[in-house]
Amino acid sequence: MLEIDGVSKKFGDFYAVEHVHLQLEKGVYGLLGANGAGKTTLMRMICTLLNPTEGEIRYEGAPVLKAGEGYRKVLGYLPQDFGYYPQFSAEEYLLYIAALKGMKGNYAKARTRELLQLVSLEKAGKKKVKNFSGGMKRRLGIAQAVLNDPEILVLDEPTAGLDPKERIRFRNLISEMAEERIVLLSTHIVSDVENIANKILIMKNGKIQTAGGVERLTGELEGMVWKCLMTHEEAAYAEEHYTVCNRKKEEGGIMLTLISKEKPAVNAKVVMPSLEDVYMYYFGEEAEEE
Amino acid sequence: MTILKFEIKKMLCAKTSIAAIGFLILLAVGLCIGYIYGGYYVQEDGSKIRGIKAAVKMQEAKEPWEGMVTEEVVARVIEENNKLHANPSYIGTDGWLSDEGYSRQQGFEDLRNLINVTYRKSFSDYDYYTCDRLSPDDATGFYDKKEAVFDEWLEREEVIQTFSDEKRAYIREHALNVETPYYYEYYDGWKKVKEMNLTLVFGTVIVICIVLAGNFSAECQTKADAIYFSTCLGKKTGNKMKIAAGFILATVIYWGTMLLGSGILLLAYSTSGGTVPVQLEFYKGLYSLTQAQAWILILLLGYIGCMSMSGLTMLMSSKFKSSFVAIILAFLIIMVPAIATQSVYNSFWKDVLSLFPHGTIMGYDYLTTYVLYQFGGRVYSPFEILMPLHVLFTIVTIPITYYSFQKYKA
Repeated sequence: MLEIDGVSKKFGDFYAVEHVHLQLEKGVYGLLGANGAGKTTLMRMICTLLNPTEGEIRYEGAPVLKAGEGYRKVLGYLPQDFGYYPQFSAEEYLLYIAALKGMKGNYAKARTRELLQLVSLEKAGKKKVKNFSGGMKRRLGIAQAVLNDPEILVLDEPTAGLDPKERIRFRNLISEMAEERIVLLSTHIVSDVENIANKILIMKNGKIQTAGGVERLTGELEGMVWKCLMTHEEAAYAEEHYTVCNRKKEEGGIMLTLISKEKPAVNAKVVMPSLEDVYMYYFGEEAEEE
Repeated sequence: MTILKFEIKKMLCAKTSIAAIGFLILLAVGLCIGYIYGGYYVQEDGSKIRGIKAAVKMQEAKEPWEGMVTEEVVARVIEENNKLHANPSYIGTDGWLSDEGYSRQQGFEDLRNLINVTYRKSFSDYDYYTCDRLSPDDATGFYDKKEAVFDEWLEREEVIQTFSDEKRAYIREHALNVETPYYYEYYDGWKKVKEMNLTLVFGTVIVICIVLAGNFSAECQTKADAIYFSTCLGKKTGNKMKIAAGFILATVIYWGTMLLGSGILLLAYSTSGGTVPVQLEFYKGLYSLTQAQAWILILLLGYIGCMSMSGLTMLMSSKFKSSFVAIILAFLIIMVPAIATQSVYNSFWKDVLSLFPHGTIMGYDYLTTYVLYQFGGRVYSPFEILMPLHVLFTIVTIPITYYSFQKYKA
């Protein structure tokens, strides 16, 4: 179990992460939040790249900062900004990371070959990483993260910059790798986690606002998500006064999906909330700014 | 070992490294070509030839004079010189020796120069034609003349003001501590490799700094630091391998370049003359070394300076996380004290400035000048001070570099 016990990270007077308490066991956890929510800071602390200002992170009861190499041996991390060495080929890159992960010669080579095949890069193994497309780089990134068959896999915005086809491929890959390990996946793209995460953690302003399975989270919004056909003027009014999850031009007007505790219009119909609606409920203003 | 291999590859395969090493190879080869074709041999008809043929001819011309430079040999040189200068067919229309005449003199030119410096009235006098005014009888007491010239020079007002009593005593003791008679043979190759080393060592140190500048900073600049530090071995073994890789690469580049440059020159000029004393070439020299020993000492001092700059560059790469900053600072640390030394006249500050890394590049100059350090009543040569100082400095940079990068938060 990975325990995040009252962990905070302060930069000056600003709390990037504030009093986060989590207990993560085997399974996929989706860390959902807008930019600046504190997801990356939390993940960096889990990966011992930053020290918490308060609290402690423990794995199997042992503080991770004290465990040091012993903890990092079971860790796999794919950062949001995946940095690589442009002059290395994919194969060289993985062999180097394997060496840094303490994997020995033949085992490292075998694992490298296996993973290049898994992420469909076996034909590009000898090519320099600098010549890879964005999707190929991301796949290489996931390959290096699971090289050491980690017990904890931390993926920070793994699908950022990928097209829909690559995102689906990535999701399937993660789903495949998720068995028998803790996978913490941060994203602000709801569909990345909707179908694969056992539990969703919603993070805002450095705090975990709510956590639970998709059903529990969407259940919180039951009866609050409405669909209504409006005129342009009504739609303009609604957009100013409600959180609008979707806007679609239809014959007869504008079909809005919005969140409201009370019925927002006479012809409004309640609909089943989706995870995207939950995201908009928590991050509606920030999402509009983005 | 795998980590070490890849750390070396990371540094070597960077575009700046490839360009820098390419430049260094061109510099070494270019210098060699310059030195080979800069030398010439005057043929009997007065025409000049250059290159390797000239070196071979020169060696043949100097061969008859190989051996111990006894008073009899000195007398013979003076006699040959006088015969040449007395022969009208070798005197040009300007009254000086013609090219045809010079072609017969170049064989004993080294010994003629030795006679010129030995028989000068004082250090500040050098007359190329001194030998022309001597007779073979003047060869008597040849090696005793050095003491008189030194004693006269050491008593001069400007020398007393420049050097303390202890330094003057040191100069006298070491300059006169030479085994006589000298042994002589053709040693042009060693002369040229020593001269070339100043430029080559300087160029090599700069290139090494460029190559090593990205050792630590590249992790940050490529944004690979997050993965690097999240791995099991990144913080400890990874950092150690980076430092080791830096020193190994610097060592290979340094010795590779020196051996390339020196190898080409010695191949062209031959390795003959390695046992000729340096004081035959540098009359005022303080060091009783052979040509080969002096060359090794210069290279060794340069190597230690190179290690010192390698340690410093890696430290700056680790501290500032920027290859550009590391290169600029390394360049300034070499150049600023070097330039300042030329402008400073106070001997104390001159000595202090020469302790900086550029001082380790000046090995050739130390053979010909009187750079000395005094602590309390004891006088030390720059080799005795700079070598241990920079070895110590190099060692000190290692843990600072290691912990600086280990503490870095990606």
